[in-house]
Amino acid sequence: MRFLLFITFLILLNGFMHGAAAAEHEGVIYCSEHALPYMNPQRYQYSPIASTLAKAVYERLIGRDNKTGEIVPGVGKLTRLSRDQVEYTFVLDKTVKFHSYGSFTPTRELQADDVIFSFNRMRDPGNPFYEPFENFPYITRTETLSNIKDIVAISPHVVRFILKEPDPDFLDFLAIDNSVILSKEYADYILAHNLPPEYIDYNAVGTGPFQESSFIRERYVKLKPFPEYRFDKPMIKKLVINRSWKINKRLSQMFTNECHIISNPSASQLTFIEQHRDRKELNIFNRKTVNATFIIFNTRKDVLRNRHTRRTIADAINIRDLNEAVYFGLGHYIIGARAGTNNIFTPDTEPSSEEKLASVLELRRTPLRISVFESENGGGNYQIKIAEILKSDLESIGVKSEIHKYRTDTGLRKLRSGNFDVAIINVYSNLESVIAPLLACRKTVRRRQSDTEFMNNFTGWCNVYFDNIMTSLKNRRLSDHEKMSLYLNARHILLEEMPLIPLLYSSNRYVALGNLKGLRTTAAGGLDFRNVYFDDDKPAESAGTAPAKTPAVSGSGTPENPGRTAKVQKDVSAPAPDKDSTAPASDKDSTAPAPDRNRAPAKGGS
Amino acid sequence: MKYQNYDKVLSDRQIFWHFYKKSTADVIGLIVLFLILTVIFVIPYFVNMDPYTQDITKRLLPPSWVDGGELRHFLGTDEFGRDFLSRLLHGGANTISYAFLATISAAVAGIALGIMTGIDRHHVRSSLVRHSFDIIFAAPSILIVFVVVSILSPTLPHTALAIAISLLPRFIHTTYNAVKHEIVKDYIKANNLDGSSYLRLTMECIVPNILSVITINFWEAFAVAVLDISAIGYLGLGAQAPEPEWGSMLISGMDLIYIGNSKAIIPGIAIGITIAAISQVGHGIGRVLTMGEKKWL
Amino acid sequence: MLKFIARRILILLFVFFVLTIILFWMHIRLTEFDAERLVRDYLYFTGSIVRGNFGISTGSKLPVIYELKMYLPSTLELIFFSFVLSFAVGTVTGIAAGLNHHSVFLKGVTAVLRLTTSFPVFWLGQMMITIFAVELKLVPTSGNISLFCEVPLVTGSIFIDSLLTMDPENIKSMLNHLVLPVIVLSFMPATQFYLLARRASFTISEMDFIRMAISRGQSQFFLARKHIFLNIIPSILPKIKIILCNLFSATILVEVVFEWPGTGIWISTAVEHSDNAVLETAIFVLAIIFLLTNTLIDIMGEVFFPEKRRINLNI
Repeated sequence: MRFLLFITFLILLNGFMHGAAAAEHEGVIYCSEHALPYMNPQRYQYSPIASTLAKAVYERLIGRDNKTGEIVPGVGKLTRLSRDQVEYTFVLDKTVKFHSYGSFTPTRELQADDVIFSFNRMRDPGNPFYEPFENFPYITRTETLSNIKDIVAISPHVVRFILKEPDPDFLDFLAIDNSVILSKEYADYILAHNLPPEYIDYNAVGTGPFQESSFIRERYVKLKPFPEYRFDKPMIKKLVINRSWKINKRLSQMFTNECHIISNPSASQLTFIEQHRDRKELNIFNRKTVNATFIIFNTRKDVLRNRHTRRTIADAINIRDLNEAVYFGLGHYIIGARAGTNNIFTPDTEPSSEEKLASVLELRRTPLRISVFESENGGGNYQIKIAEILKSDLESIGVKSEIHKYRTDTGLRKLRSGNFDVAIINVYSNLESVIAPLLACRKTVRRRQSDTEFMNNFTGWCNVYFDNIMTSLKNRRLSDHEKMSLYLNARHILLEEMPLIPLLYSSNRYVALGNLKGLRTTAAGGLDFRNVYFDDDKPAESAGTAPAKTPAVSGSGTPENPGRTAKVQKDVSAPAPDKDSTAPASDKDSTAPAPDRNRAPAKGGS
Repeated sequence: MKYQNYDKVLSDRQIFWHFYKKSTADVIGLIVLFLILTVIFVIPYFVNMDPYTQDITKRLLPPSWVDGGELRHFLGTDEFGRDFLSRLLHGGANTISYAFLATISAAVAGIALGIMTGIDRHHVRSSLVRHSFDIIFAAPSILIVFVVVSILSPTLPHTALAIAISLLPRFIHTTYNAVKHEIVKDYIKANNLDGSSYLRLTMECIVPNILSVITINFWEAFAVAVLDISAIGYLGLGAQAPEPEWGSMLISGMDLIYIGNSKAIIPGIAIGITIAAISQVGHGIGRVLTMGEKKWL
Repeated sequence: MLKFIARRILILLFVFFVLTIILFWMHIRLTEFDAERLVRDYLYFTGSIVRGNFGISTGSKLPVIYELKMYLPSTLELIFFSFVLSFAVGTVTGIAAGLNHHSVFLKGVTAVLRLTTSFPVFWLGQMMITIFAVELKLVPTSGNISLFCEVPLVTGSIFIDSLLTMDPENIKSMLNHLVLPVIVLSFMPATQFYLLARRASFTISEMDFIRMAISRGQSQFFLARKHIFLNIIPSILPKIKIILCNLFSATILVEVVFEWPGTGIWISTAVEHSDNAVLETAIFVLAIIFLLTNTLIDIMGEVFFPEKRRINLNI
């Protein structure tokens, strides 16, 4: 008995003594909220986490340079494109080695068979590793795969893709981060040992700079450097991608050496982070993806069928206050708010007082249901806060409402069946146009368990003219002037009809410790860890010169500088002509060091 | 001859109070509890406290004694500009009244069942009834709340229902034991021989005598109920936005811990003090009511 | 005594049966309801549960049994350590307090202890994290072991698994992570043990044989160890059921606060995302564990400290 007590005390005392930070850095831990169901990026959407995994553990056949848009080599190089554009020939690099994992050791370098296998598993039902199309969410059109007639190996290091018809997006498909090259030897090994075929998605064997050390689904990925990587080896000893359950703790974990990079701190932590950034202890990286929030109306409901009621509701919302409260002033307006007002109407679309009066009387008859959905991908609990503000704003015009919270799948069902009045949705998007799919007349075909599923038209409203404008805006060859007039037209329709209220979007961010250098962001918003090192760790190697043999394809993000206005392609709000007198909000992408937001939050005003 | 001593016949209440105040800790507990209940339930009738109005310009004000706070918002404001003090009081009202509701329902149902199984001559039947509730007794209260909340939706009344269910067995068991203890006494047998019905027996003989046990039980259960409600609020399964409730206020305070500490600390302190007061009072009542029996420490 | 044991086992079986009914009812409420095949569904459901086929979790798409093996031992080790710690600390101080019950100091200590255990354990945990982890940097804020340590999954309990690796780095990190959750968890049961031990030892200390021993000049320490300790167990034993129950509830909350990968946080996220398979399984397994523990404690109590002896001692 006493012995037990003694042992317990000893254990506890011991526990206290081995506290926090080690002198030498053991590695890098990236804490994120992303779901981690697989190791294989093929099974993910085109998303930051897929991109991070792809860049760390795998490689692609070819890539596309971010800045120039040109095709650059990956493990292969495009050498010949037939005149009828149906035959693509690639020559493979002869020195690409695969990882080992567990008791599997590769006996050869990468060859054509591996490339063929990686794509055949997605398109050929006869392949033992075949999965149905839905399980490769990054491929947006079935035609991309069904259009491939055959993939042949001309020689061990030459691969040819033969298509049925010319496909202008085919190279994009091959260059996207998710199209990684798997190892056929490993696949054979799996089959030989009678393991389930999905094993290839859970335990990674790729060719990238890091190899898998262990992986627990939905919890973490542990990686270590791959010594036989044909370019420079990574400088860190270990890399861990940790999925953390609670968003709030991640920031404090940065100071206890439990996280070195975090994604998406909540808005309330940003001022704190900025203070530390000014002290050079932290760095902020923008991620080029956005979390955009909309209030959508169910225009099939009686009260909301009339566009005047919808416009009145939009008028009641104080969008500047929303920005202050939810995004701490750091959100960006999807459609800019006019200076001097608290809503998004332009002078010619502003609802008149008679209109408002009539609508308010009508709205007061029945309470509105506000539906909010829990978002599994984190990004902050903005929707619920926005719902609370909406409720309070409606009460100020005398309209009663109730907030209903739903889990994602229940919520989607309700949206699809039209079982809602007002819904607040959060769309997580990397696309240029965020509004168009939400109001498209034609339904999007994809049905996926994902946030993009919210990118469908649930409002019951559509306008062909609006649709056409949106499609024309995608055309890259328009002049700025043409774009502007199209945009103004679209906006006019939107404000007049108001089938949904575009609120704000926030860019997703990474925050890294100040002494972590060499971090880059990818085009998809992921992280590239290959050049990462700790500043205070290895003085000899940290000479700042980029390693000589970096692979050509890499992201182009750099740590953010205050005051730098990196323009992100956001077409609907881009040429925001409304000049805001209160500076930072609409145009600039950076988190400019704003006046001390703690004290007197700037009220939107003239 | 001085017969003054015999003139004074103290009522039950005075006797109780006389012994209760012998322990300072219990008296302090009673005062604190009284204060808390007054502040939470009585004051909002007189002073206009509005926990729902949002005023974004006055977001996240610190308490008035800290630099930057305003006197009008005594404890500051939350992230929507709602007055924190009013939210604290209304939240307290929610927490305490739903906990009380849960305890009372559990008590009524549990006592009824306990008496019924206690009086019952049929041994196996009463045993079956009692032991069917053993599941609930064995399982930790939080699990039961999870079950109930996942079947019905997570709202405050459902949480109260779940907590009532989890408190039920303890009332049944203690009432059963007390009834069994009481029923073998001679006066019951005498009454029974005289021909009184079961109902009369219960109401006039048994209940008054087991009242002390019930009261002690009630206070313990009440403290547990308050703790459980705020724990479920903390897990996000209780009161939903914008209803204030101490547990959910605590977790939204954690979010803001980088901006102001007070929002995270104050609800926790409120919960702690309330539970401490309730358990201290319960302990004191128990001490007084069982004075004749074994030595109480 | 055999009669007692047999009776308890019968009750256990009956309660088990009721448990399956409750589970099945829950299952029906959460999924579809087919009136005709009710009995058949019930038998199938119960059969698969008993055989260990719990279904697939909708959150992580893993079989629930696999996740259970990962998470359950992790929780059990937390409970075990806090139980041992609180039992040790609580009974020892309780006995001392019972013997010296006139001391005003100890009366104050008792009041203070009651006060501290009234504070919700999740708040207490958060405060301790802020003080010890963030400010003082003595312990980490969350997790059960450092992410840099590789500990293969053998039993599921990080304590055992890291000891098995024989790597001092792993063990150090594991201990570092274990300390704060265990301490936070131990507050409440330690106080409960303290109060129980205090009352029981006070009762015993009034007895003649103790008075004899004191008059003979026995030291308090010797008394406590030889006479009192074993004698207070019969009064504590039945209360252990309740203490364990509360301990488990607190463990769920502490796991959420410390992000300790155990059953608590597993169920909590399952409820949030309405992952029914996980919920049913967890309820089933935990209820079984608790029922078995309760029955075991009852039987032990009866075997070692039968009713007759207890009445004689007037405990």
